[in-house]
Amino acid sequence: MEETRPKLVKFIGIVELLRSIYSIIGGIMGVGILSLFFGSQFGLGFLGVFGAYLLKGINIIIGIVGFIGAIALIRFKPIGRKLVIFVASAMIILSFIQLVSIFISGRIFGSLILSLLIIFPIIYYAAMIFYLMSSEVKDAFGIS
Amino acid sequence: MSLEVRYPSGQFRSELPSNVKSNRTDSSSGKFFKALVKIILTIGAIIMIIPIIVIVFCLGVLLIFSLGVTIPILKVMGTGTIFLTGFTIMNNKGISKKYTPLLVFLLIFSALFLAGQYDVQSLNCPLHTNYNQMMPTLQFFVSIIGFLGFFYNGFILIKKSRK
Repeated sequence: MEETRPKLVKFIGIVELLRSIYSIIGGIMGVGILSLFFGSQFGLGFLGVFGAYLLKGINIIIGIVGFIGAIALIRFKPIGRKLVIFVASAMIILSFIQLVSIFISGRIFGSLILSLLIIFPIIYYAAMIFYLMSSEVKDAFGIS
Repeated sequence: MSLEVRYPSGQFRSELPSNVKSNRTDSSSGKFFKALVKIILTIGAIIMIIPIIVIVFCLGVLLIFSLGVTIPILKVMGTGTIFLTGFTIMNNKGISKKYTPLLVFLLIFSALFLAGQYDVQSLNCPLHTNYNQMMPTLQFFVSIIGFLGFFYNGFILIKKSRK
């Protein structure tokens, strides 16, 4: 069995590494990748202050897991693949929560770009999970 | 016109045996989805990088145009590095080179976090960040870290010179 290492995996790993660093820093500073994509987390009403802080906390935790996972993914360690899949799943759930919250608050009708930006990470992370679970990547990680 | 598109590398493995006729459609659709996924991932990753580039650019602009105000942060970095390097060398641990940047990073952010004056709402584009409010607390941290850093460095030098 020839062991190929797809460049896309490395590319995803680097992007995930940068995103996780940004997520940690942004989470500590009060914003996150989600808030940058979906507008301000504050003043949503539905989530309230507690919800916003909870999301920030989750952002930081996911950022830390993503950071470790991305490094492992770049180095083609099997744990990296699992961690990144976990992070991607968590991001999909978070994006979905954001989508629902914004949808309930009624702001989604105000901006088409905003709604597209909300859906984009869901598609991106779903594609990432699909790709990381494909046989090509599994072979590269030595998983049969 | 055929829908079969050949891709150079990577094929999805089907659970069905290869001689089943329906497998051909599954395989081609699998290839199509795989190509689609790769395109989405490539474009998506580029889009994901954009906000990070924007933030880095904004921070760069901020640092350049307000260097005078951000000097205490640079002081923290410098003295923190001195302190941590000195401390790790003193304890004869080989982690000095490897983990010092990470420790400095954590130190800066813990200092900023403890300062509690950080303008948390301004990172949409952090050009409006007002560092003036946290200066007294930062100066305090700088003083402590600088004192400890120089103390440990001096301590090591004395110890080494005695050997």
